[in-house]
Amino acid sequence: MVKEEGEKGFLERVIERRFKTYEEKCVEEIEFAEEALGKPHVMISIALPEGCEGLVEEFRRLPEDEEFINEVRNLVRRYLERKAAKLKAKQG
Amino acid sequence: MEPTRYLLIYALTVLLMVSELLPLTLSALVGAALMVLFGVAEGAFTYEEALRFIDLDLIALLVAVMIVVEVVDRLGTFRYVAFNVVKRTMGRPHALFTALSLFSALTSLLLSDEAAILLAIAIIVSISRIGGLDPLPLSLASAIMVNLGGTGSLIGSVVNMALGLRAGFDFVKFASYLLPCEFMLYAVTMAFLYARYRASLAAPVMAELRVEVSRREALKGGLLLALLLASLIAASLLGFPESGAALAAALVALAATGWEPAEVFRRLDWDTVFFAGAFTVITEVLTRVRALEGFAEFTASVAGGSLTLATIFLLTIVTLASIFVENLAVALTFAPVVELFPFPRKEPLWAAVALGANLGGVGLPISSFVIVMTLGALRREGYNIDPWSIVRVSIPTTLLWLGFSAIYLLLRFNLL
Repeated sequence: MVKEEGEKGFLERVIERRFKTYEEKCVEEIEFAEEALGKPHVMISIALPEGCEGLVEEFRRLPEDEEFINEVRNLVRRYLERKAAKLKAKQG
Repeated sequence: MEPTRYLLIYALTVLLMVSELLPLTLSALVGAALMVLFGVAEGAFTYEEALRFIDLDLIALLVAVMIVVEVVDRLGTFRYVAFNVVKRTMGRPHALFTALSLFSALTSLLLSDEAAILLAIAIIVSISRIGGLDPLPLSLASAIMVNLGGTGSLIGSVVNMALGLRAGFDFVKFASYLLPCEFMLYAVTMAFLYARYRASLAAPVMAELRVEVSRREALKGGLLLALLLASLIAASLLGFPESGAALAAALVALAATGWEPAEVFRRLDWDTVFFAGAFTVITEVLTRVRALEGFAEFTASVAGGSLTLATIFLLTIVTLASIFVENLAVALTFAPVVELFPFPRKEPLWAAVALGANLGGVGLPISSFVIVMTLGALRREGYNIDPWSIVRVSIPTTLLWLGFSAIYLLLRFNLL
């Protein structure tokens, strides 16, 4: 069952803390495997938007914010679907 | 000399480790520093003697094996094998499950558990994303098999290195005592995990592998691994120290690649090296101040002078302790206890400690870093898995291992 950030139990906190030691190596290995196994991915660098200067900490936490990542994923899917539909219409 | 205060420091160290108040290695370093401080102040030993408590033979073997494995890993040998395993089992879920689990166990027999699980998890996360699969069955099976892998080899885990060197088991002897048990446990565990997950298995059909790991480099890595194994076997046959043989193989590995040694050294697991060094100091101090004699006498009396009972008792207690405490700490604590046992034949006792310390690692989600890494990596990739849900698999697995290991020890060492 998915728990909210604030509800994390002892076990989840311990796992998260211990995992930090291996996180970098893990990400590196996953990126390599994804490339090898044919799943394309992109990295986009986004600067803190204007007017959000008071939200630097929240901004920095976004890469770990699952809700945000899901929203971005949905946005990418919708955008690509729109783009595909436009292309199809042009070709049709 | 009053051993109570040293036992209290030991208890404090374990408490710091279990409670996560301090990182594991820092807890061990604090414990070692306190013990040395009290020991020197009390005149139990000098500071120079305390420095010699660090098991340099263990550190040398550990670092040498880490260097060879790091070089082989960087050459892409394990990736090459792993990607080929995936390639050959595309679209066949049962074959993928079996092959990946066995690959995880066999790589951790040589590779460190950390590197083995990283590789397995990376592949599983990737194929799960591509195929929209549930990554839990494959990742948990791999984590359990990585934990099991390496139980039968002197260089399979730091626990084995520490126990093997202390017991005077060379590479061949260690394998002759424990490798058959490891292979037997592979079969039992695979059957259990397969029965547990059979219904939920799936395997995606993927595009061709795009990044080809150089076959030549992979082969070079394979040869370096073969050299390490050959050196260790030769050392066993010639009565040469294992650490010396491993250091020679490490030198060849560094020289053969032409890489900057600092690049390789930077990626070694220094945390484990420091933990092992600190904990050998702790257990040496406990031995020096005779703090473990009472426990050894108690255990021997519980066993009623029976080697069979003492072996089964040790296997059980070490397995249970390893569920809650870092298994290297458990193994290093029980090593001097085994030495103090009044049995002329100690091989079954050493084997029991080695099995217990290796197998206790999957009991709870935080029993070993292998499970922590698996859950942490899945969590990071957006798969929210309740850590308690894996207990339904990990506890029966540990009990299964315990039962089969007990039967193995009784038969292997003629204890019936």
